[in-house]
Parts: sequence; structure tokens; C-alpha cells
Amino acid sequence: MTEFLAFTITGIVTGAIYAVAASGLVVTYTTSGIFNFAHGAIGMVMAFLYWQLRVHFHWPAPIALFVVLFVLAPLFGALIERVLMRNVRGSDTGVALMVTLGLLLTLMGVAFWRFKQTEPRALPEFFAGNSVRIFSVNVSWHELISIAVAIAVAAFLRVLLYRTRTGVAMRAVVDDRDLTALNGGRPSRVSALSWALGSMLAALAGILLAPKLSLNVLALTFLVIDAYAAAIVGQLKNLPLTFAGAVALGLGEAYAVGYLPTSGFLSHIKPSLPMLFLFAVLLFLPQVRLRVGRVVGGRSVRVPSWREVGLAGVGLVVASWILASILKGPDLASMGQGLALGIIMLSLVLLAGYGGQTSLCQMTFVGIGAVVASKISHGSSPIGILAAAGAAGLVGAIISLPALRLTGLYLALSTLAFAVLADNLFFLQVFGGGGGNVFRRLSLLGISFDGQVAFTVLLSVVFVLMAAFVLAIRRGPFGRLLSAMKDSPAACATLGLDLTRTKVGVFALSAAMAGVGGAFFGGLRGSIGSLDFYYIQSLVLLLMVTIGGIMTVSGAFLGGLFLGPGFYLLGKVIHIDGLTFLLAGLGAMTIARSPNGIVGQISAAVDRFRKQPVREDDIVEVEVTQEVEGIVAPVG
Amino acid sequence: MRSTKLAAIAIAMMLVSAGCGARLTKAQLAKAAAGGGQSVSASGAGSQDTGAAAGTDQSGGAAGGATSGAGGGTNAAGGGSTKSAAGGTQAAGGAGSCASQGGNTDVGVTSNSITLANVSLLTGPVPGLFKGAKDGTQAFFNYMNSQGGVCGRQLKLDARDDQFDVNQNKAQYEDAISKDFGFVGSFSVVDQGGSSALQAHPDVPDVAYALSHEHSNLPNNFSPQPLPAGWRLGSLNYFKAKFGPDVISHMAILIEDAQSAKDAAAGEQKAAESVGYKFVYSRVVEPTEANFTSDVVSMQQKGVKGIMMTGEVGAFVRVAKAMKQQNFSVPFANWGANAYDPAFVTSDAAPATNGSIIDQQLAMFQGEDAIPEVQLFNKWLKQVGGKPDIFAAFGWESARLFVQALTAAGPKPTRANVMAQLKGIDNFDGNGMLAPAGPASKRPPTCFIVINVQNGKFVRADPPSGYICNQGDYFHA
Repeated sequence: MTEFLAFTITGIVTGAIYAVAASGLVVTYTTSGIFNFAHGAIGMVMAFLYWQLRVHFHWPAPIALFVVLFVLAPLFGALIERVLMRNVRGSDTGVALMVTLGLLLTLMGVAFWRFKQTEPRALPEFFAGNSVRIFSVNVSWHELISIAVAIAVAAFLRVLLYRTRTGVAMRAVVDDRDLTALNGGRPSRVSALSWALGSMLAALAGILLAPKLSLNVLALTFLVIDAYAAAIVGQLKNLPLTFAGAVALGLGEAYAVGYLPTSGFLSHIKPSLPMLFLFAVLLFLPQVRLRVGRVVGGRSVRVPSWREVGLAGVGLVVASWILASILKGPDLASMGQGLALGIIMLSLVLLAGYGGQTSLCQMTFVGIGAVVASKISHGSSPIGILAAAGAAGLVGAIISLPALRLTGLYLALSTLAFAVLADNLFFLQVFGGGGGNVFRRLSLLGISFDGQVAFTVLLSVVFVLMAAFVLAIRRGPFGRLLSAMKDSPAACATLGLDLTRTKVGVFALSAAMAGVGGAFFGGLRGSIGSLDFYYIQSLVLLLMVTIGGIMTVSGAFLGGLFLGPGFYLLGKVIHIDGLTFLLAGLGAMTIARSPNGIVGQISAAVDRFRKQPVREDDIVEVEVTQEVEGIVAPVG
Repeated sequence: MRSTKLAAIAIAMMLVSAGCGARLTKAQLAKAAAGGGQSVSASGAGSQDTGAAAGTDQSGGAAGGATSGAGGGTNAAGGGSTKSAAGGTQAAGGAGSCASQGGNTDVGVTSNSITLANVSLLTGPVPGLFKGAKDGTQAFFNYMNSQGGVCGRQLKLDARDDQFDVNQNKAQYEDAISKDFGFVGSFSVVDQGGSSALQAHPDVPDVAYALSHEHSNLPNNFSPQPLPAGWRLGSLNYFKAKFGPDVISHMAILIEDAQSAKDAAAGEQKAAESVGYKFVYSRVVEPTEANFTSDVVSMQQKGVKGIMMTGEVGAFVRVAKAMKQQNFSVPFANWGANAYDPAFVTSDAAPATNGSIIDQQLAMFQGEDAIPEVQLFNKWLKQVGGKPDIFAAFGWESARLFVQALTAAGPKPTRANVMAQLKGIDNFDGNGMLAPAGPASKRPPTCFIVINVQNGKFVRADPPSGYICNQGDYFHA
């Protein structure tokens, strides 16, 4: 019994830490409608700033705390709202996710640049050395403060949001910005205040967490992901439920340490607990409301004709051949890397670009494809590629089942949970943590593509064929169905279109394409390991293709180009720690202004140059009039 | 941008940690001594003696170490017969007595320079973490160049970044093979990429602490401290004798969640159990776990009296702080070589980590050991803006091992004759900075030192100088 009570106290302490982090996520979402992926990164940067003032400049703790919590953090939050989030308003969930992900990477880049991780930094706990004994466990004053802060924050936010004019205005702005303005509210000011508050809470979580975790950029940034589950328990709105979810998660972890076996399959449950929790909560969420209409960020990009596709495809293969013959060593390898990633990104064009389904687990499908292909002649057999497509497609179809009930953010989070679980429960078991499994390059009809030049040209051919496949889908009935579903699921359902089959189909097809990409990705690398498919890679992949232009196959090509040769060349020229994080993040933040990415901007510029009128098939804007339960007739 | 996984770092740290432990058999010691090298017990003292002989001219002493190793192991061209003698002669011998002849004798060699490549992970998930590998190598090259280079040729480093990409790692090796003489001091968690390139060119010498087994098993890879799967028994026997059966039969082990970390821990646990240790508590922990109170409660309930942990220093500190908070202390808290890090003794960590034990197979290279090699390492490392971490130490010692073979190869170095020299060096101690090991036979080191943490400082506990040897064999997993 003593042991049980001790684990309970420990769980409550851990839960309090999750609660503070989750409360910040909830308040930002409730008051801005945006799920802030960068919440942990803001907290991380603020913790470093607090360290700078408190430890490096030796400021007294109260002054340092005041400056960070009540000056720097709110100002930073307001700045984010003014510069970034104002442009995201009304955009699709994917755009908002990508912008906050870009912010996350930018902040990580800044932190890596300004605070070298090779230097030890320690942030002392508040009232370090003091503790209180509760049920045979010594609870430090810092931990008690964390619990008190978690409760106080939940209570304060509840009162603020539901009992004050400011709080009501904050929620009103999310519900209907224009109506709030018509009623004399000042939406811009309220939004800035919301982000300032969210940033303050992120800073609070960062400062409370840093002494427990050490000042580590990655740990502080990504620990908040574990708190997503708690935030989702409260459906990103209900603070008491969020608090309860956080405590339940903390208790679950503590009991898992105490009572689960330390070897065998069950030993992997503890690290996977937050994501299992998240997945389970998402499965039990009520049926999502169907969206009637949506705002589209400007015109869509024209689908090229077959003649254009043919010319571009031949041009790409010939150019690749020439370049591959000229380039050598690392330069050629980076080119191959770009093409392989481009192939994988094409699967996201189909799924997210055409189908509007957000996936944060695409590299998991790539990994499944690579693992299956490697089991057949170490990846050198064409049968392996087919098997990779089949296996990944099957898993994709299964994973799409939550997508039948979930959309937007919840769907994105469910795929993220799946990716993390696959890392912990599948890839680490298959590969182990280091090294890698040998992967041979394709041999087709007696022709070996083992050489770097031959394989690079093969990659370009595969890219062109898969791009043509994606465009063929876009032009066909399934493509039109995808576009319709993306635009208005409710309208589709009203017209009798089978959304279930469409969603499962597009997930399976996209996963199968990613699986094929995995077979070629493995061939390019020569060996595959668990780190190659780590969930963060999926986020980066989606980010880069969005920067390139997720609505087009050219966007996938550009995304691959950035992630492969682009970063390679930049790394050669500029030597700044965290540069790639910084540039990827800054690039992603441009999505706020240009959801169709660089290709969209180029396309628009070309059209302006030609002074072409708006084409009939260009989607301009569809007003969102209301969201409804179930299926209703479209309005507006 | 590549993966940002913390576990990758843990892997690297673990593999380094795992390599920091081994033991020479008596037969091997005798063989090494008979081969012309100094005895193991004399190794540490010998190094210090060399320093005394060299006086303030550390460069002479250290360079002599390089030559003495070659002489000890093989038929060094210009090497001295003893450390101290070599220490006095190397500075002149390196540049003067074997003046450059023959011009372009092989790839990467000109009449006045030799270019060697270093392929390391420089811009990975924690930018700069492995920069020490490049810095340590560059520092040693700068030092050698200040002494006139090798046979009159200046050493040039072609530093390359694999960007945490196995394909890029392979491509960098392939590219460098056609341009540079060989590889030295590389350090990357994706070095299996380069192994295929080196396998296709078995004539190219590669002196580095390889992490992947594919790479470290290559016949042309020579590590200053080879890493076989398993664990050293010497330190386990030492602590068994020191703390007694009651403590070693109530052990706990915490393992960071990375497969290679788990493999290393499994080797350590099996090795410990083979000499009588009993583990009553073990758990795999996440790199980002913040609260270890549950573990401490469990350990208290199970009567744990000794603790081992494999992973990175941040997690060690968090566990130590959780133990301190619960007033739970054990007589034997051994954190392993990764704890020899400034982060383990910060003012915040020290109250919890004081009294900790560390056993490792390197000298106290951050400067606590006053042997000439450590002083030289720190002096030259500072000049390239580096910090004395374990990666820099291995970079430095890899460069020393390479230069030892290069010097022995004489004024007309070719890949073939340098390879031949490397294959003859089977007793290398980095002039006392490393426990002796056999790079040629891939024989792991088995001697070790014991460090205590006292008042927020690392203090050498045993032996006062040199290494503890003859405590047990290596347990091969």
C-alpha cells in the first residue's frame, strides 16, 4: 500500500507538469482556433531566456521571472499573432499546422544557434533542497509549486474564459470574427491577447520543466507532445477535463513503472503510454461534424496537359542523366536523395493536396515498405517493390479507419500517434536503435542499377512515372471525387458519394506509393535503420512539400530538391549551428501567405505576366457559412 | 535536416561508453611487452616520466609518444626505443631525419603535404555534438605541423560532414578515397555508410573509433580503443572486492531506450552476473524522462544497494537528483564513463552526484591528470576552439595513431606501407591518455581508472597514476 501511495504521489507530480503544458495548448486553441505545435518550442526558448537572466546574469528569481513571464513571453506571443497567425486565419487545418511547425523549427534553430548544446547549463529548481514528506515520498517544493500552478492555471483560465468579458471576446473571435467586430469587439487586439496568454503559459511550463529535464532544446520542445493526449481529453476546450487527463496520464506512467514487467512486450508500454492514451482518446471522441464549405487560399494551380507532362518528364530524365554524369560523390548523392524524397512526397500530394487528409505518419509507411522490400532479396527484386506497395497500402487502409470519424487536427494527431507507436513498438524492434539492415539496389530484367549514376537516373524515371500516375488520378473520376471531398464532405455525402470508400482508398493508395518510395529510399541509402523513419521525419516531409506546393507534383519535386541538394549545399556554404532548422522553419512560415507554396506563387506570377483571366476551373473562394452536425444541404 | 532523435545521441554515447572497458590477458600483456612496448603497469607512469623528461617542452614528450608506440609495436623508422628517449628525439626526428622524398607517393600526398579526410556528423540533431572529433584531429595535426610535420610534409585535414545521412556518409567516403590519403578521427552514428566504400578499397587506411559493427569489423579500420560486443570484467571484479557480496547482490540497472544501449547494458549485466552480481531491479528509461521518483521508490522497496546506468549524462543527473530528494543513497553508484562530463558536476547537479563513482579507460583528459599528453591535448585543442570531450579525445588519439604509422612508413608513404605499419601496432596507449589496447588485432583495452566526484569535482581515486590492470578478462557477449 505504501508503494502504491508513493506511485500515486509521483504520478500526480508528473501529471501536474503535463497539465501546465496541456493548459497552454488548450488556451491557445480555444482563443485562436489554432493548435500550436510550437507551444513546447516557445516554452523552451523562454526557459533559456530565464536561464540567461537568472543564472548567467545573476538576476534575482522574482525579477527574472517577471521579465520572462510578463514582458518577453507576452510580447513574443503578440508578435507571433501579428506576423504569422493573422495570415493563417480561415485557412485549412493543414496550413495552420505547417505554420506552427515552421515556427517550432525556427525557434529550435535559433536556440541551437544562440545556446550551444555542448555547453552544460543547469537551471536550479525553485527552493532547491526543500521538500515535504507525503506518504513516504519526499515531494520537493518545486514539484508542489508545479501542482499548485497547474491547479491555479486551470482555475484562472476557466474564470477568464467563461466569466470575464475578455474571455468571452476571445472565444467569440474564434467563433465568428466578423460578428465580433460588428458587435464592437476588436478582434485583432483580442487575438494578440490570446497569443500573449498562450505564450505566457508556454513560458511557465518551460521554466517549471527545465530544472527537471535540464536545458535541452530537443527534450523541452518535444516533451509537450506527450501532453497532447491530456489536451485532447478535454477536446482542446475543457480545462477541468484536460487537468484530469493530465493527472490520469501521469498516474498511468507511474503505475507502469511500478507494476509492469521490465522485459518483454509489456515493457514497451510505458514509453508508448502517452501516444496509446492519445490514440484511445481520439477513437472515443464523438463523430466529427461534417464541414459544409471551406475557404480556399486563392486559386488552385492548373493541372498540366499530358503533352506538358510528357515534355517535362522527358526533360527531367534527360537533365538527371546529364547531371548524374557530371556530378560526383556527395553532390550526386544529394541529388539522389532529393529525387527519392520527391517520390515519397508525391504520395502526400495525392493524400493531402488532392484529398485534404492530413497525414503525419508518411515516413512510417515508407519504413513499412522498406522493411518488406528488404525481406525479399534485400530489396533488389521488383517483387519486393510490389510487396512494399501492398503491405504499406494495407496498413494505410487500416490506419484510415480513424479518418472515417476524424478530420483536420484530430486526424493529424491520430496519425502522429500512430507514427510514434510504430517507432516504439515496430521499428525499434525490427532494426534496433543503431546501425542498419543492408539494402541492395534494384536489379530489373538482368539490368543492375547498382551504380550511383544508374540509380539516380532510375529514381528520376520512377519520379516521372509516379507523378504521371498522380496526375492521371487527378484527372480521373477518383481525382474529382477527392477534390469534392476536400472542398465539402457534407455536399459529397448529400450527393450520395461514398466518402468511406474514398477516404480508405486515398489513404491506401497514398501509403502504397509511400511504400514504393520506401523501396527506392532503402536502395539509395544502402542500409536502413529505425532512425530513417522516425516520426519527426514525417513532419519535415509534409512541411517541405507544403513549402514547394502540396497541390502539385512540381511541389513534390521542389520539396525533394530543398530537402536533398538544397540543405546539403547550404550546409557547405554557411556554417551556423541549427541553420537547417532555421531555414526550414522560416520557409514554412511563408505558407501563411501562400498556402499553395512556391509552385502556386510561380503559377500566379506567370498568369499575371500573361494577363490571363481567371480560368473557369480555378477555385476562388467558397464561404464557410456554418458547421453542422450530420449532413445538411450546402449553404452559400 | 535530418532526424532529431535524442536516442541517436544516446546510441553514440552508449557505444563510446561500451568501448571504455576491457581487459588484457596476462598472455597479451607479456606479448606486448616482448614486442618492444612498455609494460602496462609502466604505461601510465611511463607517460608521466616522459613528461618529466620533456619538461615544459610538451610537444617533444607527446610526439615521442607517437614514435615510441610505433617503435614499440613494430620497426619504426625513426622511433626511439623508450618513451622518454623518443620524447626527446621525435620533434627533430619527425621533420628532419626523414625529410620528404619522392613527392607524390600516393593519393593525397605531395612533396610538402599529406591530406587526410575526417567524415563526422557535424550538423545533426544536436549541432556541434560531434565537432570534437574534427577538432581533436585538427588539433593534433596543428601540433604535428608545428613540429615540422611528418617527414617534412604538413598534415592537412579534409573535414567532411555527413549531415546525419547514411547515404551522404557513404558518398563522402567514396569521394575522399579518390582525393585523400586515408581517413582519421571520423565519428558518426551513420558510419555504416562509409563501411561499404572502405570495404571496396581495402588498401585505404581508416583510423577512427567506428560505431557500427560493419565499420569497426573492417580489416582496414584501426581504432585506438577497439570495441567488441561484451563488457570488461576488470572493473566489475574490482568493485566486487571493494563493496562486498551484500552490495553486489542487490544491484539495479537503468538502461536508456536505444537498442545499442540495451545491447551494451545486456553485455554489462551478463558480465556482472558472471562474476556474482545480482540485479534486483532493472528498467529501460526514455531519454526524455523527467521524473524518476517511481524508480527510486521501487529500488528502496527492493533493497537496492548498488546502481549502474547506461545512457547520457543528463539522465544520470536526473536519477541522482531523484535519489537525493528521496534520501536514498547507495554505497555503490557507478555511472560509467559518460558521466565524466562537466554536466555531471554543475552546481545544480553536484549536491546529488557527489560521492558518485566512474570507471573509465581513458585518463582524465579534461585536465585533472597532469600527464603531458593530457596537457598537450588541452593546449592544442584550445587553439582550434575545441572542448575536451570524449569525441575530441578519440579524434586526437586517432590522429596520433595514424601519424605513428605514417612516421614509421618513412619518407615515401603509400597507403600500402602505412597499412602495413598499422597492422603492426598492437599496443597503443596514446602516450598514457588511453588504457592500452591492440588496434591491429582489435583487442579491447582492459585496464581502467576509478574516478570519484567530490565537492563538485572529478577526482582520481585509484590508481594515483596510470591504470588498474590484472583484475579480470573481457567478457565477450
